[in-house]
Amino acid sequence: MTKIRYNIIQLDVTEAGQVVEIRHRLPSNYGRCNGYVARHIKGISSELDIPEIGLLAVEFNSRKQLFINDLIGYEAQVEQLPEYRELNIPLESGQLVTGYYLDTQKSPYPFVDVKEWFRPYSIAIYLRCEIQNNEQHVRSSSIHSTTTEAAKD
Amino acid sequence: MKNHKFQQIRIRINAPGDSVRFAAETDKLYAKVRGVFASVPSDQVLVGATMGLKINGQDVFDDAHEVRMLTCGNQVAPNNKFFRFEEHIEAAGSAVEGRYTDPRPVNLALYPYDVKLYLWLVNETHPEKNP
Repeated sequence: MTKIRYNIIQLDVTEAGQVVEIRHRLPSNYGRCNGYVARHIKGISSELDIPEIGLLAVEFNSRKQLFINDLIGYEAQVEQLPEYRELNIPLESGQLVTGYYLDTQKSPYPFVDVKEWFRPYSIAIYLRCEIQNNEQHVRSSSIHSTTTEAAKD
Repeated sequence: MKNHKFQQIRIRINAPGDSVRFAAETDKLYAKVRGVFASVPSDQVLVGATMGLKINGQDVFDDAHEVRMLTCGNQVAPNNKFFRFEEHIEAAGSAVEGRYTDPRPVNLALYPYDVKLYLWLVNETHPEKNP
């Protein structure tokens, strides 16, 4: 049975114009990558959407396949569910996901340099991957009531 | 019998930065979890909030998965609000476990608040069991 797992690559941008290198190893049991979403997750605060804050390029299977070239924007308000873009990349076991993210923000104020205005932020790349797993499900026999408890750690 | 049910799981967040484990069980009368939708009372607590989820022993989302990936605005039609699972996730009394982590926003007046996690349960049969 095919199972889906979501692998998250988080990138921290600390300087204006920074190039952040991506070098990420996917678990070896991932067989295929079939979708992705890349988005700003925290750090930028604006009342308006920003269509472009950076550029993203991602390669799979240790630079053998360049499959993602994308603009990353900023969403001021919660609107649609983030939609995964289709991919169809067979993954070679143990190979790297590589690439880079380039910050391209411009200062909205004409007389303020972007370096003074810039605040650190993070983006995340969600990769939707298939796992070929022949194991049977393990059913839990315990009864779980609908409860919540604060974690100790 | 009805074919759809929206099962709600409430998670109480008392203070900024809380990391709360939750556990529940899906309704036994429904075969499959088709989707999930997370509802929070303010966009301010959404930025950076994360939620891990495990259903029937199957890892669905890691703890670092953003709640924003599971929610949308009020302007979205009800049928399109849910994040839909591509794979078969068995319901029928399955254990649901997870962890919600609050992002430490500035506005303390928001606390305490409840996160509502809705599971969309359906009675479709498993395609591999009944082709």
